Amino acid sequence: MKIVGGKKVYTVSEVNYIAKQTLEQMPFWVEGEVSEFRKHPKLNFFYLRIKDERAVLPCVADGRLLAGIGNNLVGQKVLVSGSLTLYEPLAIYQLRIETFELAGEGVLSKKLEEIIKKLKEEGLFDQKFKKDLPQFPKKVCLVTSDGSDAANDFITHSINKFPVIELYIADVRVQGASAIGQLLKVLPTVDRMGFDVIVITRGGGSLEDLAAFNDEYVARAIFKLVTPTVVAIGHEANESVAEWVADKRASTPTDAANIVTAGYAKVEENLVYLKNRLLSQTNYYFSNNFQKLDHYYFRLAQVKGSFKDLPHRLNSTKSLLEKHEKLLIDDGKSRCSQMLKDLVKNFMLIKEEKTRRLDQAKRSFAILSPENTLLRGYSITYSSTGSILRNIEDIELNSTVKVKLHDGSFKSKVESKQTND
Amino acid sequence: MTKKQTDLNFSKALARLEEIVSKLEDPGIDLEEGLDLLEEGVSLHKLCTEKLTEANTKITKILKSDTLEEN
Repeated sequence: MKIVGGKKVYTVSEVNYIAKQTLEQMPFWVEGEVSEFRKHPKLNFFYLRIKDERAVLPCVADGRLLAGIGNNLVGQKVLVSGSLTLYEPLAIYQLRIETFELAGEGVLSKKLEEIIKKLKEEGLFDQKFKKDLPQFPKKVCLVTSDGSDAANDFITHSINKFPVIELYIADVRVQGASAIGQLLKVLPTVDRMGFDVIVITRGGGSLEDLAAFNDEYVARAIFKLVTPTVVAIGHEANESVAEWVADKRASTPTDAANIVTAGYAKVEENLVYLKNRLLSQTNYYFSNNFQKLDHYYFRLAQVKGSFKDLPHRLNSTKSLLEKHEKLLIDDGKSRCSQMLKDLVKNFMLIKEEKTRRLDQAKRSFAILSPENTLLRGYSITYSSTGSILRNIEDIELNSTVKVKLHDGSFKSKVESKQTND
Repeated sequence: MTKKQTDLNFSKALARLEEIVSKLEDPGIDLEEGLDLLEEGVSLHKLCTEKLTEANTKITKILKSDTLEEN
C-alpha cells in the first residue's frame, strides 16, 4: 500500500489477501443441491458445486468426508458446514467443507426404507390382514384436509355421482409438524364411529410433504383400524407406507373414490346395459311382429290363388260330363237297338220252336184222337144216358149200352160183368 | 270377430293365424273350409294388429315418460 496524492492505493494482491483474511473468518452451514461433482485426478479430493434456485457455490471436500456416501451426488440435497476460502491469484472463493451429510429426501428415503423393512418383517403388509371393502358402502369417512383438491376430487367422484353415500369428512392437517399427531388422534376415533369405509387421502407432494404418511406410528394406527380402509396418498408415482398397510391402495383421491363406489358403478353400468337391451328388444319385438302380420296378411291375400283353378276344373268337369253323357246316350241307343234285334230274333226262334212243337203235338194228338183209336179196333161204350163208360162198376146188368165203332154203332144188352183182378 | 278370438292372447292369436295361413296354402283345401279359415284369418290379423299397435303406443309412452330416456 502506498499513499498517492492523499489516497490509499492497494495492489491487486493486497486486495485479494485482505478479502481472503475477511472471508476465512466466516463459517457457514449451507443446504443446497449438488450440481457438479468430480474427484481430483490424483488426490483424494473432491470438487463440488452446490446450488439453489438463484446461485451456485463452489466447494472442496476431503475424500474422507464423503466415504460411504456414493459417487454420484448430482441432484442430491446436502447439508454441509465449512468456511470460505479464497484463491488469491484468481480471487475465486469456495467453501471448504468440514462436515457433510445428505439432506432432504435422501435422508427421508433412507429412513423410509428402514421403516418399510421393519414393518414388512412384522407382517403389517401381509395380504392375510387385508379386509374386503363392502360392495355398497353407505357411510364413508374421508380423513383429509377439508377443502383440499384431494377432498374435492374424492367428493366429485363419490357422493356427487352416488348421492346414496353419506360422507363424513374428518378434517386433519396432512403435512407439517401437527399432521402425525392429528392423524394418530383422529384415526382411532373414526374407527369407532361405525363407518363402512375409511378413506385416508392427500394430494401429491415431495417426500417431505408426504412424511406423515410414511410415519411408522401412523402406519401402525392405520393397520389397527377395524374399519376397511382405503389409502390414496399423492400422485400415481408416489407410494407411501400408509398405502402399504391399508386394506386397499389407491393411486389418487379420484381412484380411491372409484374403488369405494365400484359396486354402485357396476350396478349403474348394468342398469344402462339392461335399459339398452330393453329398448332394443322392445324395438325388435314390435318390428318383428308387425312384419309377421304383414307377411301373414300377404299370404292370406294369396288364398284366392288356391281356388283360381276351380272354374277351370268345373269347366273341364262339365265338358267331361257332356262327353260321358253323349257316350252314355249313344251306347244306350245302340244297346236298345241291339236288344230290339235280339228280341225279334229271339221271338222268331221261340215262335219257330213253338210252331215246331205245335206240329209235333198235332201229330201226337192225331195219333191219339178217338177216330184213330177206333180205326185201330178200339170202341167206345156209352150208357143209356149217353155218358162214356170207363169202369166196370158203372155198368148195370141187363141195361142196354151203345157201342161206337169207327164207321158206325150198335146197341148191346149187358148179360154179365166181370171185374179184373 | 268371435268372442273366442278376443279372448286369445297375442301370441296364441298369432300362432293360430300362422296355422291358418299354412292350412290355406294347402292346394287341396276345401272351398267351404277355406272360406271359413280366410274369414277367421283376416279377423285374427285385425285383432293382432290392433293389440300390437296398442301395446306399441303404450310402451313408447312409458319409455318416453320414464327416467330411462333421460340418459
